[in-house]
Amino acid sequence: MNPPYFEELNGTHLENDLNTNLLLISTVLGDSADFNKIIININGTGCAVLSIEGMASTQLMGELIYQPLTDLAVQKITREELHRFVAEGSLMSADRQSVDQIGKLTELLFSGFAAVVTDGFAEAVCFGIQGFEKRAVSLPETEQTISGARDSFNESLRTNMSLVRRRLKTPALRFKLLQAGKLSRTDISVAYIEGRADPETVDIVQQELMSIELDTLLNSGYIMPFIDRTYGQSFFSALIVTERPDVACAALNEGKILVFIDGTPECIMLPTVFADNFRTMDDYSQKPLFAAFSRWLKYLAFLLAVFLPGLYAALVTFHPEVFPLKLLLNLAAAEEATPYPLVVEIALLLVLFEVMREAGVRLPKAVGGAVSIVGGLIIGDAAVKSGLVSQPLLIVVGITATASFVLPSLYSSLSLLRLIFVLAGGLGGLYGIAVVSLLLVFNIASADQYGAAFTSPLMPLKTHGFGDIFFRPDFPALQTRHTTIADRK
Amino acid sequence: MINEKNKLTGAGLICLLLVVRAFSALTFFPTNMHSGLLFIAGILLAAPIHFMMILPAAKLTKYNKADTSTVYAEAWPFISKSVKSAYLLYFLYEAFLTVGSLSYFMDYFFSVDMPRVLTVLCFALAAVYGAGQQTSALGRTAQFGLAGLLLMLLAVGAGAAEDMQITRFDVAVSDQKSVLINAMLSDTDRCGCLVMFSFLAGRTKGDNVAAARRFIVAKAALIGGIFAMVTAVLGSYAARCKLPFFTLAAASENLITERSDAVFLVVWVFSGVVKLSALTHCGALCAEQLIPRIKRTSAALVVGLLPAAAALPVLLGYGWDRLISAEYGLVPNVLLSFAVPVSFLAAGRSKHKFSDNSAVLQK
Repeated sequence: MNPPYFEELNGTHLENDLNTNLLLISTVLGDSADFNKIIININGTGCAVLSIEGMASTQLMGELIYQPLTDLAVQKITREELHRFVAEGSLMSADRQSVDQIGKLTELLFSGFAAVVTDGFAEAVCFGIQGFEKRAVSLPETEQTISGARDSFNESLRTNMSLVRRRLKTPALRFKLLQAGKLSRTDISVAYIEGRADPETVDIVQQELMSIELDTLLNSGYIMPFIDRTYGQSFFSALIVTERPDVACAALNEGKILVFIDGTPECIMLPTVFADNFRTMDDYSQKPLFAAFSRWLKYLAFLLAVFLPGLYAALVTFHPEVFPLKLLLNLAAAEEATPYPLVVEIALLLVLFEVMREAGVRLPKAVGGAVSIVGGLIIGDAAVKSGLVSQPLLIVVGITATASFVLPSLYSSLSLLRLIFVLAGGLGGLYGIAVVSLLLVFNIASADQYGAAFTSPLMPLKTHGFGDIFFRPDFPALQTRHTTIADRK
Repeated sequence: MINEKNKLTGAGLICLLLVVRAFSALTFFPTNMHSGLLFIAGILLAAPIHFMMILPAAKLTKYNKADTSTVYAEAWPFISKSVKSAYLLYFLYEAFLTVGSLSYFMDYFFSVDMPRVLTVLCFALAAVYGAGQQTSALGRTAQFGLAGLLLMLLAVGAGAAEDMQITRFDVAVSDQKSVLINAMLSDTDRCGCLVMFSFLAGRTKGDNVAAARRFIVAKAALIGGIFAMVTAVLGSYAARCKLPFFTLAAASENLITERSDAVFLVVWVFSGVVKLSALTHCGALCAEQLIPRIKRTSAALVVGLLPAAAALPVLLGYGWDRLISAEYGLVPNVLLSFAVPVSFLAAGRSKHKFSDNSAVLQK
């Protein structure tokens, strides 16, 4: 056998002899310490119960397998009756499969199944009695809302599927199960609503997932390059990752497709458009007027996060005549006192902010507060008092940082973009800002994902769904089905 | 067959052509403008003539499902290649004027701390990047550009409103008729957008005749509005100085900024590069049709860098002033936007050579 893929195991079948089967399985698993093997003798017929430590539920194994088998031991029962009882009788579990290939058997064992192998039969009956440790459904960490649901996806694929099913009680909701990862054999589920999602897109997504040749799939980032058509071209991702079941269900209703990965507490939504990054569930639990105001605040936050530092650098360095006199005098006095060019100061502060943010993410919660104190009070205040950076600049960077946290799904793109704009504005003034803005607009406008333009439904203009970009229509209007991926037929 | 998804929408085409025309209006102000009001009247009177000029191209795409450069490519290959070459040369020349003017005015007015070579290179590379995208992406970018342009016009107009005077709209010229005719000719001279319409009509979805009508109306309103603003604030002789709209923007103040020329700069550069990208894109399409082996990115690179390379010696030799004030002739505009399409249309109708040449549009 050629480790570590063991692909030839799929062609290796179980034998009739129990001891041979046990030897074969032990050889494949390399006598692993977490492999449990209990051999029972029932009226002269050997029977082995196989499981992996910590994967199958001990309690369920006792109730559903050991207890019935032990009861059988006192009855006069033939080998065939025993096997029929195991395969079809009263050993109950929600999921029961009979397998005769070693490869499939090991896969099920590692998925939390318990297998019963009977002497004289070249098959194993596997019972889905998973009992591995998993995190409970908890509060969303990165997509918090003021009102609305408080649950989020967790690492268990089946739990995530049930969270969606609970909210969409329609038989049109479909889940397609796949496996990917040559070593990890990770379960992936593709969810869509029949009749809403484009069938061609569903097929393409499934084919792309099945063609993944990676060894392991440990989170959603591993599969994004395979299903994001604009991964290497567009600055912004045309996929959105969410940890909220309600957001996922809303996306399904709009004809989007979800991809769940076992072991990842989030799902990928596709195809998405740029405007989807600005929509939150809070918009749909407030009055339309405030929801529209909130939506526009997000657009303003995006503009501030991307353009403010670069514009500041451009205007102060090359076009100071734009400012009113009083403001200009304050800015001039502040910048005159600092030793470095403005573009260097801005870049330094932005990079420092990213360092502190990264430190805040990695540090334990108990220490996280100290980082805030160090960052805000010591570095910020001390840097200004020592004359390293100017106070107006600190305000600009503070506003930029706060604005970028309004849009968590765009944070990574915004961090890079604002540095580019700072360089463009600092070196080329408004000319640089204009050219880079144009390149950015070209980049956004040229992204097409599974037939849906990234700028849809604004461009191409589609009235159906257009309103949801700039304001939240009233619910009577929303009774007509709307979607942002409006240009696909 | 060109992918439907990659075609321009009608709105995209209109926005693209409006941005192209608006850049020309903001940059190449006619020096022979003696009366702003008569000039605006000339623009409005020229509108129906421009519609008649592009109507044959619109009808050609309606009947043949192909545009002027590719129709009859199989029936009359030599004529078709000549037409494509003519388009290519036109777009190269327009790109040469655009990139040169962008760079010329950049350091003439805006004191950008970059050498001219770098400015030209940045413009050219940005245009090459834009030209390498699909035609539909160009249309969407132009829609953003037009939105920005309209906002800029609104901001500048609002800021200069208190300086506007109706008395500046006078007809104090000796020969009003010749001024009107000059205005119409001058406007037509700057309407490279008409040539672009006849070229891109075959790559547009929907009813091109309706798109042509809407475009002409919008163009007349937009250009007329620009001239009206300049005349109302600066008077009829504003055109004697370079970039009068820049002067207008500099005089426009609002609650936040003392001047609006920074806003003008951003929008002007944006529009200019959109125009340059569109010209480079159209030139690259011609190059692809003339040389089938060439790829889109290579064609865009060559078509984008050639005009920049040609403009550099003129810019570095401080000879661009002569080109700015030159009226570069109606002939290419009329030929390529009207004469060629109408000839093909007439020839097709008379000899019943309508065929579906959409297979020729490979890309």
